[in-house]
Amino acid sequence: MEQPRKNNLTLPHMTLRFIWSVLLRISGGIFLVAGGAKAFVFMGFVQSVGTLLHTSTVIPFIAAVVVITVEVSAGAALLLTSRVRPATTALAILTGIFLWFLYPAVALNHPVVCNCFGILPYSLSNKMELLLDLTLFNFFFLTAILWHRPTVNPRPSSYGSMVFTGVIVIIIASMEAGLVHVVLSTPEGSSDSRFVFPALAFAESQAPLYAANAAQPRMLMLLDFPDFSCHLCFEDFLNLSDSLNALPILAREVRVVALLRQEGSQHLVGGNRLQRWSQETGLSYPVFFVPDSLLPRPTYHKSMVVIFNGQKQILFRADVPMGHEAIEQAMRLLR
Amino acid sequence: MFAEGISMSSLMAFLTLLAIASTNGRFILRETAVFDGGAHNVFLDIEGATFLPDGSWIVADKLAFRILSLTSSGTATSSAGGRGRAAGQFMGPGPITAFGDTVVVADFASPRIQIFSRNLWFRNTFLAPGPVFNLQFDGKGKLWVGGHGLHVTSFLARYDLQGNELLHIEPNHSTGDLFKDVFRFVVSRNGKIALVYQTQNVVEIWNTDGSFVRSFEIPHLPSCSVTHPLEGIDSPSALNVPDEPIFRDIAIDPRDQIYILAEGYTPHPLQDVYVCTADGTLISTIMLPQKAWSIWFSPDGFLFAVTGNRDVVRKYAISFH
Repeated sequence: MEQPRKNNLTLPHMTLRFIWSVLLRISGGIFLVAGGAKAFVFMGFVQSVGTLLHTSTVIPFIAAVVVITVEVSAGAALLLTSRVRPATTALAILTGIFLWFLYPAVALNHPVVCNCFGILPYSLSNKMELLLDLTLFNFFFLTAILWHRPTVNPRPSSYGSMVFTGVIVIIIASMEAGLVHVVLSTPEGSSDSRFVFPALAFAESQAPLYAANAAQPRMLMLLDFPDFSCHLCFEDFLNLSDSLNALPILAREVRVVALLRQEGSQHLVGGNRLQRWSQETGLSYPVFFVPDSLLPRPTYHKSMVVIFNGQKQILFRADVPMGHEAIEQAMRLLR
Repeated sequence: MFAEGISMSSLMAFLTLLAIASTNGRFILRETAVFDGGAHNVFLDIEGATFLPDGSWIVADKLAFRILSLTSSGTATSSAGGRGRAAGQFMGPGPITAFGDTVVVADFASPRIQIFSRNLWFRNTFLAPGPVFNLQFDGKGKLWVGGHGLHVTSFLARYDLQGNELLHIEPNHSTGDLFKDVFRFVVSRNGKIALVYQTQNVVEIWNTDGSFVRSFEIPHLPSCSVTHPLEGIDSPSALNVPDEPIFRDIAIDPRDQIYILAEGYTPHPLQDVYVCTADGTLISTIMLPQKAWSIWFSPDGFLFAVTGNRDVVRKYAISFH
């Protein structure tokens, strides 16, 4: 009677499997650490998720719990090379979701801060994050399909399942090709960032206290007065200002600056007219005229609100009218 | 292409002005007073003004969120308002009118209409069906309100001071498109309403009993403003917004001659005023010395214009030669 062999793998197979296992352990370790690091700044991560989902309900809280749980548990499983297929399936889905949110951020030039590494001092551009997630997605996806335990008599794959898998791989590969094309054809730096960061520098030059508080979240309003001919926009701006008035005095007076484009607001130029308007409107934050050349059209085309984190990354961006939800979200980021 | 169209319109309008000037008499303007608020920068953004029977007047200052009472010489005597939605407060006072002891003010582009006494004491408030473009009392003290009934066409309606609608008119050229439907109107002493669309070259004349009289257009100005998709909106159903309005404001003098302040497509934007009769005959044009944002007549026939950065009111005497 033939004795069953303990292992029917050849040397190349064993080498490949060893490398594969090492990669799985490394990626598992990364996710375990990243998940754990997010847990240390849990509420900040909830806010980041809320920003991405454009909601402030309980959903970002639940999503944050799910993401951290999946990252930690799946990361631990991969580190131990235990339950590899369920773990890589979960991580493939997770990175797929990350890609879903990062793609528009890169393609539409609306940078987002994902707090992907929690308290760890690592930060990648959205483009690099997208490419990293794409690589991880492929790795986990292929592992979820191909990984199996060494067995005495491996069950041969059916022809139908191989065709199905091949079709899925082709579909995903073609989608990824389009995604990579868009990413590579998008210039580095967003269209917004071409004027947002010079405008931020201008605001800092005008308001020393604002510059001195760069380590904290700060709001920059880039206002185009003709937008206020639209009553909805004007009311939204007033609602935002009222919400800012409710913040602690330090949060609103040293971490908020509004820049007003000169074109279209000539009636506020001269004497103390800008200050009078600011006072009559009840604005509790500094307002300055900005040279139109710093907010060039057509790149800049709408009044907007931007919030920066301590690393001067864009934490939040919304056009006016923002709406109640976005205003609430902005206030949470500033508190 | 658009630019060529605009230039051609401007040229035709210029030739029209020349023809009128050579064949008809001319209206001569003489500035008689300037109200600039003095050294205190009283006005921030004048959106409207109205006269009281004693010659004093009341100005709606949109960006200062208040209304000011002024003597006939322009000295501010009292004010009311402040930013807010409470009684007597404004989110930006816009159209304003007065009759007898009553002053009526609408918030800018809002349905909210507030009633004050001539001393600027708040009386009551009511809501129109949609954002108010303009409001005015007729000679019998009936309040007329023009606005847009969101999702439907624009309206011109007569109200009592409790907000009960007494008569509803749907302007003939109202389309349901907010940008096309924005209009200004004025009511004459003898019961005629003249209405001009801001982005359509159409003047409609109505009787205050609700009957339509006629409509006409100002020669050689385009039939409607050029539109373009709203920047920054990627949706295929993006809004088409007018490049610039054709007309800015309308006023009527004590002789029932209609004055229409043109904004775009005219040789001198915000300065050319087309003067016509209620039957649609263009009788003259006036070029204001300064750009104006709104115009109106005092009961004694002086033309007033908001000029400068919407913070200066100029008073003109008009004579015909």
